[in-house]
Amino acid sequence: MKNWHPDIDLYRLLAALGQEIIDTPGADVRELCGKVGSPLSGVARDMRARIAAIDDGDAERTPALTDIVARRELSIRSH
Amino acid sequence: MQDMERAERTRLRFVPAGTSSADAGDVGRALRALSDADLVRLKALARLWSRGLPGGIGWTDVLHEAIVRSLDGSRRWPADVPLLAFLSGVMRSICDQHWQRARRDHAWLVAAPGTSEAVVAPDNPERVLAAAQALGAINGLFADDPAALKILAGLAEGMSATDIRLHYDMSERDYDSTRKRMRRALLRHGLA
Repeated sequence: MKNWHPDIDLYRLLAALGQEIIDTPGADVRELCGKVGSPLSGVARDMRARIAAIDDGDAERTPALTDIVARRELSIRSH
Repeated sequence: MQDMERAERTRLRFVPAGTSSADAGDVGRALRALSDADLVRLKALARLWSRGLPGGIGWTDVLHEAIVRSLDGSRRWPADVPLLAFLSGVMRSICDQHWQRARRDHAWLVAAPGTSEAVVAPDNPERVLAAAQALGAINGLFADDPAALKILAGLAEGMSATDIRLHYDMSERDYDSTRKRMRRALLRHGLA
């Protein structure tokens, strides 16, 4: 276990599972939405609203995911 | 139905004449043209990639950042790459950067006073723990499906489908039906 790198395993696994999601046939997506009580149209409406808000600049980015950290590190190194 | 699906996916590819990537307007139009099923897939992808991220970052944060980077041109949508695959790659990159930043922050914290050079980060127990927890949570989605757990273990090791089938002595039919169950479980989780 000493050489176990769960972050690398996680990265590989997420890449493979992401492809599985992309490859899921549309019919399966529709059927599943019905089964779990999340109508396809409802999920899609929510996602369209999110995308429109971002596209229109009405939603704020999360600072932790912007380049704030990188700029702070540059500042530290330059002093 | 299969023809419709093919047409749907073709529409989601950007194939410009004489250029190698799309501009912001193309990305915006393509985003707004995503089908209902693709929007469900996109949500499931965002939930998948953001799983276990440190710092309280959630799927909406990752999705938001990926769309902003696609729209502002900091990430270019290459020709002939399906939009969902492109966005999944952007989200993967964002999450990877976030993990790396968490590791770098930890490295600076442990650097000796007065040290001006970057230090090599030691194993960050918090990061390792977060990744292990994320792996555990994904395995937990398939706790009642031993075949799926085998496939997960193989994928985490970077094995190909053929390698996994040979290693775990699975038939092609068993492998395919297990993958189908896994896709459904992932989407079900993505809808939660």
